[in-house]
Amino acid sequence: MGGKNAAIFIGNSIFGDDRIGLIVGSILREKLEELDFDVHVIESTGFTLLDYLEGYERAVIVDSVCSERNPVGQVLSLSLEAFSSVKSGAPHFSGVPEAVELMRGLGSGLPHVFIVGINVRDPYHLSDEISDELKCTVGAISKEVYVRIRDLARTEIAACNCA
Amino acid sequence: MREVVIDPITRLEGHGKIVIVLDDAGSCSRAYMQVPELRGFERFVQGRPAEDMPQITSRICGVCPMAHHMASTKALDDLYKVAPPESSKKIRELAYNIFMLEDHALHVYILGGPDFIVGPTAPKAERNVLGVIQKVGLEVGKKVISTRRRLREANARIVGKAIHPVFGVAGGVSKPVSHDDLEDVKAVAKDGLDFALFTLKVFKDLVLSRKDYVDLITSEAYTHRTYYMGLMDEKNRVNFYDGKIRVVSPKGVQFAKFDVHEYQEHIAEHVEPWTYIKFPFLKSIGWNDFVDGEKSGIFSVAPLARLNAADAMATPNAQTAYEEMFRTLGGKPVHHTLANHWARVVEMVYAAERIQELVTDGDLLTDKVRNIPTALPSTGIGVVEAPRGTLIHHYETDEHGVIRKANMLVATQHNAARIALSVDKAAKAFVKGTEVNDGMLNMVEMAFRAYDPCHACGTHSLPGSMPFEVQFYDERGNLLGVRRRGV
Repeated sequence: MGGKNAAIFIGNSIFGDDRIGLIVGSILREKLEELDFDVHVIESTGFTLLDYLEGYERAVIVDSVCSERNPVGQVLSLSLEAFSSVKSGAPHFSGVPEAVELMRGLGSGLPHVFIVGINVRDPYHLSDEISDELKCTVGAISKEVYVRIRDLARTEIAACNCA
Repeated sequence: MREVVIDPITRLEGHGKIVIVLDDAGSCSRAYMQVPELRGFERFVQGRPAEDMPQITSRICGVCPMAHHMASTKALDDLYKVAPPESSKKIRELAYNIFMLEDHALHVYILGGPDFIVGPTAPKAERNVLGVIQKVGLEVGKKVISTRRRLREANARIVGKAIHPVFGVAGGVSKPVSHDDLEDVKAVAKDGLDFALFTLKVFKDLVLSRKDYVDLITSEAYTHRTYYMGLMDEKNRVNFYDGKIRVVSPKGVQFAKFDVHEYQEHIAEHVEPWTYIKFPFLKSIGWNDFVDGEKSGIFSVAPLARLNAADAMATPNAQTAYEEMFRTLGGKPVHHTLANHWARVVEMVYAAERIQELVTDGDLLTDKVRNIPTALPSTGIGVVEAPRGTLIHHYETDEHGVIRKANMLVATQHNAARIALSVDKAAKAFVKGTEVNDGMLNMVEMAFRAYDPCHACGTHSLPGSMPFEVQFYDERGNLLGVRRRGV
């Protein structure tokens, strides 16, 4: 995979399951750097994401999603539109899709953006612990997230921009 | 009687919804805003070391982490009875003003801007940041984004991390500012002031030149004659970082000026059964329901309240802009909620000028940035002006500095009663008949968006998913229909 690639793990460390992105990002940092990814593990979303997306050709964003239709711990590949519909807890409701839309509007180096969601039970209430279901499966989740990102790296992505 | 529920409020942090009750003729008889999340933060921090609070509290809200970090850091100073060296006070104030400039810019262009720059009655699909870019032009849009990013990067040099600062400690800051860091910040400071003055020009060109917009700002639908509160220096000039809390009456006369340690003597909270948010009011006047006027204890914070509570601005260009605003809007105090947008731009100019003052202060380049605390902790209270208004952190600990009790009074709480007034009044003015169109709803949303409220802070809980839904009920509570937006 040529060009500059970013893996951006998002979460909030005091909102229970919402920290799963941070945990998985820490676990996978080294392995992803070996795949030539710049790894960002951040506790912010919204327009701050612009600072992390700009300058890359491809970006994989890993975040918690909350969908009752899927089992807790399931790893999902999502389009920006699908991501928007399952979670909008971003600052001032300006989340990933809005940040990408803004970059597109500005005509500034928009990367191909891929979303990997980790389905969680409760990312909305104050807790510094993740739920038991996630605790038991965090290893498997990390492995699955890694596989998704690695496969993206092996695939010709240009035609697959989820946006 | 029919009930219209607007849920959620778009472009705001946190989950809130508006309920509009329609009478049989289709006119609004009452409107109010609900905030359904439970407060939980105070309990969450019990048993944690107080020195962790600046890091923990900065994660409550994705929008104003620096405000919580700074209020918390000042509460730690007070908890351990240790005054920071003058140099570190200035470093803190520098970082804080950079944050204020960046945050206000976010609101002007991205959150509140669509209402005025694009237009209050424009279709919803256009009332967003892309609509703003179309209106101001691509190059301006790029300038907004790049300036904001540079401000954040500059601040990261000072505070360690732009998003969640790690520099505030009891008695000072964790590291000095290096010569290289300061040179970087100086370069950004100049651009920051240019940007703020440019924004003032944009506001004048695109908003103030439009008679219909100015008429809307000054309309009775968006007007409440309440008390105003803000943090002031010794000359009653706006100061975001430090000072005393000043309150002025609806006639603009000083009503109180007090140290934050006395806040409980001046502010009490009223509880309503339909919302988890509490309604602070002036204790000596009392709670007299949701009404404005001198006999109502309802007060307001946020940019307009700060400017109303001040006698002047502390920097020259901000002073000029401040005078022009009051001259244009009929003198002090200005009671028009939508003037918050203008006041915010005036404050951008102040923040930018204050940054310039601070970066040329030789005190910043010193290694003496912390006084080590030695006192046993018990109670600590800190205050700053967050972008959205006065923010107070109050901690009580055991002798080991472990939190036993924490209380945070955030800007959105201070404004809650006035926001309720605003929603009610705007709904009565703009919602007519059973056909509630998008433009009408936006006129109601504008009434509270001007305050830039943040319900994640106000309830200390992160928002859930945010589908937009309007529900129609008859007077017996039967659902007549549902209208969805963005679902």
